[in-house]
Parts: sequence; C-alpha cells; structure tokens
Amino acid sequence: MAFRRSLRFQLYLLTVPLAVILLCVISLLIMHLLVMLRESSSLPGQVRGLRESEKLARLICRQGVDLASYEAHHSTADAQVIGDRTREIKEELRRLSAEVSGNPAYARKLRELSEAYPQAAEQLQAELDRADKSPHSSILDMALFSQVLPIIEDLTRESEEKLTWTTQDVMIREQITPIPALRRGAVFLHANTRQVILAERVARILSQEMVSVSFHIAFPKHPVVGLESGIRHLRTHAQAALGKLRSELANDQYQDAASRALVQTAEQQYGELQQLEDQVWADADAPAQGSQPDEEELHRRKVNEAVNGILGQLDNLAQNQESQLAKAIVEATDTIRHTMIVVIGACLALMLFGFASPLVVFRLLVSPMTRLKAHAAQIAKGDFGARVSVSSNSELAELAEAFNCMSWEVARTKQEDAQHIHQLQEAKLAAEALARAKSAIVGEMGREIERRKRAEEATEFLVDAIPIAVLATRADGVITRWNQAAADILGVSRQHATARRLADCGVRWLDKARIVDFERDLVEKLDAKQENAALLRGDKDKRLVALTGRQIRGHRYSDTFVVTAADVTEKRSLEAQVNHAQKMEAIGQLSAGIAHEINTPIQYVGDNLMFLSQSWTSVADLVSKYRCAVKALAATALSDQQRGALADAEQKADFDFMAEEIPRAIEQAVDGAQRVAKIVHAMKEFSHPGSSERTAVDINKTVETTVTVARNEWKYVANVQTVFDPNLPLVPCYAGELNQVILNLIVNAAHAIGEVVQNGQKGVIRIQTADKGEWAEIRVSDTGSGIPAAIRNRIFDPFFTTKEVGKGTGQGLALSHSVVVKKHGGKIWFETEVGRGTTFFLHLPIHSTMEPEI
Amino acid sequence: MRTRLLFVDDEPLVLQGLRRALYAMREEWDMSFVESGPAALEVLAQDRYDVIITDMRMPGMDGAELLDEVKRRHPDMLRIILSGQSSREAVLRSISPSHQYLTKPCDVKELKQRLNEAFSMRDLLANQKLKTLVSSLKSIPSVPTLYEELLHELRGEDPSAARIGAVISKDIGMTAKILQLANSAFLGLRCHISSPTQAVGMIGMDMVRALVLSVDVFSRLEGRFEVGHYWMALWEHSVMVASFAQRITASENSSKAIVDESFTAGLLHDVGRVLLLAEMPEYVEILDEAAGKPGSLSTLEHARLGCTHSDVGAYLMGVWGLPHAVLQAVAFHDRPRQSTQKQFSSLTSVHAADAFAGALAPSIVTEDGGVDMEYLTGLGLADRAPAWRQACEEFLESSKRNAP
Repeated sequence: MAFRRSLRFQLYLLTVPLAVILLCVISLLIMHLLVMLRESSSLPGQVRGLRESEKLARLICRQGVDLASYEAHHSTADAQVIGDRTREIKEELRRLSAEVSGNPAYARKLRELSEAYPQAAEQLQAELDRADKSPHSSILDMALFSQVLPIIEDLTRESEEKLTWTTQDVMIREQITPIPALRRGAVFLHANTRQVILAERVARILSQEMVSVSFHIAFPKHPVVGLESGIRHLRTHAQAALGKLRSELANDQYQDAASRALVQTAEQQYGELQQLEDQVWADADAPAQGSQPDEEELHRRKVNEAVNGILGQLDNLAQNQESQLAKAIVEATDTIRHTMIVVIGACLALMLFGFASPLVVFRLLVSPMTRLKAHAAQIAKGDFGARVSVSSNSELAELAEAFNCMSWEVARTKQEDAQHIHQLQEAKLAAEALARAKSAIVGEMGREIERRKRAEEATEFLVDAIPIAVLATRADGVITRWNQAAADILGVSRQHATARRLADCGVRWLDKARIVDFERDLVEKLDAKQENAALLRGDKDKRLVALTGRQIRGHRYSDTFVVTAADVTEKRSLEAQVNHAQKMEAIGQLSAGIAHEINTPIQYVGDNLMFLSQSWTSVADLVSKYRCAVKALAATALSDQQRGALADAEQKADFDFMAEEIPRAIEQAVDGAQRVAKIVHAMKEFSHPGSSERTAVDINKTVETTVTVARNEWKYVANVQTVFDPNLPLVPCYAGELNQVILNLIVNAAHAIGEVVQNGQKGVIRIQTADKGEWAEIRVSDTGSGIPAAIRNRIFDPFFTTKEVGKGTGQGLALSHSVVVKKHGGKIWFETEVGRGTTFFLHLPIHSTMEPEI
Repeated sequence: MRTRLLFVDDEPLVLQGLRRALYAMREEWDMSFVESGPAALEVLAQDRYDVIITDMRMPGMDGAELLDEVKRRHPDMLRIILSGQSSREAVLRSISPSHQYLTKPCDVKELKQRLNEAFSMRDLLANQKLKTLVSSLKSIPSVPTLYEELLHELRGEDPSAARIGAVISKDIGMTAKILQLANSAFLGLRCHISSPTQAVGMIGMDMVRALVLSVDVFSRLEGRFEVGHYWMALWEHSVMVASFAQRITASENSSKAIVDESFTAGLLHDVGRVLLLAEMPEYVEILDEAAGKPGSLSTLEHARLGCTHSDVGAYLMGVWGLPHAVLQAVAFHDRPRQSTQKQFSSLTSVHAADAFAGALAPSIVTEDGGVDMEYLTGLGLADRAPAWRQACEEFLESSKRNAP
C-alpha cells in the first residue's frame, strides 16, 4: 500500500510543476495579448488627436500669413513715402553740392542745411512713430491666441503622455517576454510609437513656431523688423528643436528608416526655413529699392508660398505618418494573432505530454498493485484461497506468488477457528437475553416507586400552598397532617404538632375549652365549627382563627377528619370598624333630627326668658316705686284695715325675696337653655353626618366640641384643661372620624384616671393644640396609671384591651391608629410613665396631598 | 321712618317668644307675626315691609317658596331665613331667594345686630331703584377668565381647595358671594370668615361644586363693550389695593386672620362701582364725565344717584351679611373719618392702600385723593404712613419683576 501510495505521489509531483509552469505561461501570454489589443485599439484615437492639433496649427499659420501680408501692404506704402522723402533729400543735397562747388555763398548755405538735417531726421522718426501707431495694428484678435494656445498645449501634452506610457509599457513587456515573435512585435510597435512621438514632436514644435512666428508677425515693432524677429525666432527654435531631435535619435537604439526619414524631413524643412529667412533678410535690406507694387506682391507671394510649402510638407508628413501607423497597427495585430496561435499550440502539446506520461507509468506499475490490494482486501473480508495473477513485471509477479501462498495458508487456519467462534457466540447471546430481562423488571419497579413518590410530593406541595391551615386527624383526634399555612397561622411547626391532639399540640389557645368542645363535636357529629378561636402567636400576637372540621365521606379514608383554620383577625377588625362606622352614621342622623326637634323649643324658651328678664326689671322697678308711694301715703290715705291687708299680702308674697331671686332664676334658666343649645349643637357637630370628604377643620373647635360631648365620661373623675394655639390653621380632615379619635383619647384618659382616683378626688385631662410647621399637633395627657411596659407594644393592636369584658371592645385605639395614619397620613404615638400618666400625641398634616387608603 | 319686620313661623310659640323678646325694640321696629306663607303674602300685599324673617320648614308653602315669591313681588325687601333645619337640599334651594340664613336657636342680640348692620346703610340709599337693585341682586358678575378658570378646575379630575380658593381670591364677585355663604349659616357654619380660601376649605369641595355648577351662585360678565375698559381697570385696581392693604396690615404685626381680612376688604372696597357698572347702564356716563375731572366722582354720583358707590357697596355687604370690618372698609374707604372705628383696622389699611394705588399706579378709575392725614393722626398712626407706602412700593417693584 505504502509503495503504491508513494509511487502515485511521485507521479503527481512530476505533473504538478509542469502544470504550474504551463498555467503561468498561458496567463502571461493572455495578459500580454490583452494589453496589446488594448494598446492597438488606442492608437487611432491618438492619431485623431494629432490630426486635430495639426489642423489648429495650420489654421493659426494661415491667419498669421494673412495678417503678415496685410501688414506688409501697409508697411510697403509707408516705406514708399519714406523712400520718396529720402530721395528728395538726396536730390536736394546733390543740387546743393553742385551749387556749392561754384559759389562760396552756397558753401555757407550748405553748412546751414547740414546743421538742419538732424532736425529733419527727427521729424522723419516722429512720422514713422505715428505710422506705427496707426489703427490697423490694433485689429489683432488677441482672444484667438489666448484661447487657442492652451488647447494646443493640452492636446499635445495629453497625446505625449499616452504615447510615452504605451511605449514604456510595451518595453517592460518586451523585456520579460521570452518569445521572440512577441519581442519582435513589441520592438516594432515601439519603433512605431517612437515615430508617432517624433512626428508629434515635430508637429508640435512646428505649430509652436508657427504660433510664435504669427505672433511676431502680428505684433511688429516695424513690419520688417517684426518679420525679421519672427523669422529669427523661428530659426532659433527650429535649430534647437532639430538639435534636440538629433540627439534623441542618436541616443535611440531602435533607429530605423522611418525615423531617419523623419529627421531628414525636419532638416530639409529647416533648410527651407533658412532659405526663406535669407530671402526675407535680402528683402528687408533693400526696403527702399523694393518699393514697387509688383515687388511687394512678389514678396507676399513668396511668403505665402513658403508658408504653403511648410503646410504642404506638414500635410505630407502627417499623411505619411498616419498611413505608416495604420500599417504598423495592422502588422502588430497580425503578429499578435500569430503569436497567440503558436502559444496555444505549445500549451496544448505540453499539457498532452503532462497527462500522458503518468498514464503510461500507471499502466505499468500501479495496475498490478491495485490487483494485489484488491486481493488483500478479499482476504481481509474472509475470502481466503483466492489467487492473483501478475504477468508483466517479474518482481511484481514474485510478490504476487508469495501473496498467493500466504492467502491459502491463512484460509486453512481460519476454517478451523470459525467453528469455535460460532459456539462461543451462541452462549453469549443466551446470557445477554437473561440480563436484559432482569434489568427490565428492576427498571419498572423503580419507575413505579418514583411515580408514587411524585404523587405524594405533589399532594404535599398543593396542601402547603393553600393559604389556609389544613390539618388531618385520625378518628381518635390525633393529627396526621399539618400544612405550611397551619405552621404559619397557628405558630407551631409540623414536627411539633403531628401525632398530638389539636388542643394540646403546642398552640397557645386562649380558651382551650372551646377547642376541646370542637374536637368532641368533630368526633361525635362528624362536623364541627368554631368561628372565633383566639390564640397567641409568639409572645403577644393575638390572632383570631375560624375553625371548621369535617369527616372525609365517600372515600376509603373515611376514618380521617380534615380541619381547616383561617386567620380572620383582620377581617373581624374590619367588620368591627364597619359596624362602628354604621353605628356612628345612625347616631349622626338621629342626633341631627333630635337637634332640630330640640332647637325649636329652645328658641322660644330663650326668647321668653329674655322677655322675662327684661320684663322683670321693669316690673321690679315699678313695684318698688309703688311701695315707696304706698309708704308715703299709707299713714294718711289708707285705713288701718287696708294697711293690715297690704302688710299681710307683702309678707305672703315675700316681694324682697322675689326681687332678689327672680333675676337669678331667670339668669340660671337662660344659662341652662344655652347649655342645652350648646350640647345639642356639639352633638350635631360631633356626629357630622355625611362628611365623606376632607374639609378644612378648626381643630380647636373640634376639641372643644368633643370635650362637651364626652363630658359624662370625665366629669366625675377629672377636670379638663384645654390649651389652644390660636394661630393653628385650618387642617384638612375627615371631621367625623377625627372627632371619634379625639373622643377615644379623652375616654381612655378618663378611664386611666378612673383607675387611680378614689374618694371623689379628681385627676386632670390636659388637651393642648399646637402648630408644628408641617403638622398640627394635638396632645392628650392624663394623670392616670400609665401603661405597663409589657403591653406598650400592643395597645394599637386590634382587639387588644385591658378593660373588663364588656367594657372595652379593644377597637378604640386600633381604629384611631387607622384613621390617623391611613386616612389622614398622620402620626400617633404616646409617652407614658407608670404611676404618673400617659400623653398621646397626634400629628395631622396641615397641607395634605395624600389620598387616603380605604 | 320705622323699620317694618314680618316674622313667619308655623310654630306659634316661636312667634310669641320672638314677639316678647323683641318687645323692647318696639320703639324702632314695627313687627308683624304670621303663621304661614300665604298669610305672609297677604299681609305684604296690604302694607309695606322692609324685612321678612321666615322659618324654612312649614306645611304647604315652605320658606324658600315664600321668599321666591316675595323676591318677585317685593324685590327691595331684605329676606332672611331663621330655621332649625339645615338639610343640604333645603339649603341649596334657599340660597337663591334669601339674603341671610340664621339657625335656631338664634340669639335676639345676634338678630338685632345683623338687622342693624343691613339697615345702617339702607337709609343712605335714597334712590328706591338702587335699593331694589341691591336687594334683587343674585351675584356680582365675575371676570370671565377667572370664572372659566374656576369651572375648569371644578370640572377637572382632582379639584383642590387651595387652587379654587386662589382663583376666587382674585375675583370681586366670587369673593363677595362665597363670604356671604360662609358667614351666614347656609352651610351650617357659624363663624366670621374673611378669607375666601378658608371659606372654600370649610364649605368643602362637594358643596362648592354643587354651589357653582348646580345653583349658579357665581355669574360671569357678559360682553358689554362700553364698560370693558373700566371693568378691567377696576379689577386691576382692586387687586392692587387688596395686595397693598395686605402688606400694610402685615407691617403692623397683625394676626394672619386680620391680614387676610384686609386683603378681602381691599378687594371688595370698590364693589359698589363694580355693581353699578355691571347693573346700571347709565353709570358709565357718570364715570366718563368724572374721568376728566379728578375728585368729582362722588359729587357727580350724589347728583345723579343720590348716593355714592361706597354707599351702594356697603349696603350690599350689609344685606349679604359680610363681616363688619369688610363692611366698614367698603363704606368708608374714601372718607375714613366718618367711620365709628377709632383704631387701626382693615378700613385704615384699605384707605391708605387706595390712596397709594392712586399715586403709584394711576388709571382711569383712580383718584389722587391722597392719604387722610387727619384721620391717621386721630388714630396716632401718622408716622406710619411712609413705612406703609414703602411696603407698597416694594410690593409693586417685586410684582413687576416677577411679571413675565
């Protein structure tokens, strides 16, 4: 196997580099082809660019020539005028010299004239200047130049960049391309590119020169000077360009005929330019002589011809280049195509070879080995004795023979072993079947146990989740079940309670007899109820529970009783509060009705007493006046009998006594009537029927009213002192309920004092009000027994009372707490000292925003 | 002319008791006593009476029905209820026709005091038309925006006594009316209250809502173009005088109750003008005429109406049973020396506040009367005037600063 693997591996190793090289070559070729195609497709665009720039140059040239000829026409006219003038001067000089030679006076005249000559020269100069400033020199279209120049610049720069890039690109490729055909193609392309570049350069230089020539022609200092400097400029630049071109060509290693022809053409053009220049110079040297119109025409024609000649050359050159370029492109494309075919063919051949050679090797080596392997596999599967035949390779044939021997030997041994193995397997199967049967039985038993356990747990969980105490007892009353709520409500744990009876299970029943009755009822009547069973939870937490018990009927557990115990402490407390409120409402309505009934008689009792009081004053005054008069007149006007009767009547009526007592009697009656009115009013105020919302309450007045109403409670044991804060603002309160709270505190105070006073002594109940900023404070102090430390924490608990049965409901302070804290958002607390007395503090919020919890 | 009173009660013993108790008043009052509503109307048809005092609960026609009828037939009479009953329904029914509500048992002294208070100003009103106007007035119109604000608050989710009190404290009409209700026993209260906020708190939100929404104890000024600018100026002036009077009283270290009372008295001091402006179309002409001539208003009022706006306002306060101090301030704020009160009171602060408001914030409703120094000298307070003025100036400054 290893042999075979390594052989295949090596074969593959052989083919891999071949394939890699092949792939590289192919990809390189394809890349080159793509690049070349792209380049050749960009060539026509470049040619078009060139043609554009050339056209522009030609246009500018033409304009320059037109301008030059126009200028020349005018300057010729000027030159003619100057020539005429010069001739005149010369004529004059000649005449003068003739006259001087014969006459001394002429000599003097000549001197004068020679002195005047510079002045004339100056005049001439001024005239020339004037001619220079003539309007025709400003007609040049400056805008044309400023617009055209940058366009030409851009065009040439662009095409130059493109060509340079292409060339460089091709050169790089050419350096790394190993195939000669490609190389040739690249060289050819490069040479063509160079030509194109050169042609473009020449065109550019020429167009630049043309521009500058036209420029100089267009801006002549003097027509002739302008032409001269223009041509000189042209020559200088042409020379420089040609030199540059020559040096470039000299350095160029790919010289060819086309390039050389180009240089020649350029040199020829230069020569022509020089000729033209010389001619111009010759013309310029003799402006005066050549002032005939036909000479001027001739000159202009020559300039035109020269320019046309240049343009024609340019045309030819461009056409020539273009056709050469087109040819080069076609050639390049052909070359590329040929190259492609050659390359693809080579690739295919290489690939064929690569794949064919491993095939041959495989046929010779691998195939026999594969057969050997297959045989070995047969043996592995248990097919012994099979033979393998190898014909070709002798080494391999020997190997096959050895293999065949081994195979036969193994086959024989195997046959013997097989019988033993068969017996053993049968025994093992029997043992396994036994084991499976056993584990199935065990598993089923375990699952059953688990199911039962879960059901039990679920029941337990369910019973524990019930918020009511649930317990089960046997027929003899012994507790068997005790849920979590039972532990919570009754305060005894499950472990502690089970296996005991309800009455003695550890619950601190306050009235155990009732529980015993309950148990008895349950056993005898199979149904029992106990609405208010009181118990102590912890040390001081008194709770009320409602017990119900019943036998489980119609079930196989019929000897079991289920007892439930619900905590009804809060419920009973609420019921008590509701009862109380209903009672108060009834009292309120009743007292309002009574008040109305009493008020009417009080009205006329009061009125009549008022009348009596006023009347008695008048009557007494009258009677005393009568008595004085009688006294004065008695001695004279009355008989003895009359006097005696009068004295008797006076004695009988005891007027002096009446005069003294009647006003007092009336006063006391008025006082009594007022007190009745006050009590009735207080009663009405106190009960406050129908006050379901908060109103602003005058706390001082409320306290006073309540003290009046509760008078019966305190008057035998205590005096009430009130200290009112006059600046206490109105406090938003539920007036009726607040009255109740104050009444409770007063009654409690009176009771506390009642426990300690004896023999008609009296304690003091002191009620104070105060403004404590956020709070209105009411303090109720008594001089009673104080509250023992043991019960201080419990006094606001519902149903807690220290009073005898029937005297207190245990609701008073719990109710007060609820009213102050829950309904008013206030606070209530106390300070106490055993033997000295207790003070209750009540704080009510002055600015209440709190909504009561109901 | 003696005051003529008519008492109505179905309980003859009550009538007899009253007759005996009021026997001492026979020199000043002519009193008649009848036992039913129809009988009362019969008596009234034959003779002129100034006051009717009736029980509420009577067989046949009850007190509220009787007063409704009396109001219709004899609108200038003073109408009082004297009752032992105060069920909510009955109270709400009686608010509209009656001026005051007294509860049994009612002290004869209290009755006398209330009647005297109401009638002390009645003689000043020579003009019968004005008497009728005041007696038949159900409410003084409120500033519309405040009225709307009140309704909005009352109809809202959670009306608060403090906010409602604050709205009412800014309005002349609402303040006057709520104090009328709180100071009479209409609502079972029997105390003298001068602060609208306190009144609202004691009356309770349910009752206030019922009063405003069901009984319409307040009303709003209906658009009358020609009075608009006087109205707003009067309102601004009144609020300013109220605030000034409050500051002045506070600077005299008075208790909070007195300070509140000064505010109310200041707010109400021009209630007569407000009333005349709202109810008497020709009053605008008097104001127009007086506007050009400072100090001429009372002369003009006397000439045209036979009395001044202070008299009208004070009479209304008396009829409605507002606290004595408020009545004094309304009656004498522009002539404090005529008052019988001879110590610092709300009258003093309102008088000074009115003068300072005229000087510090003059408008079309103010007169530059100045502080009556002779009056202050009489009280021994002449040297306090500059401090008061400074307190007012400071208040004005701070309120300007706080204004948005």
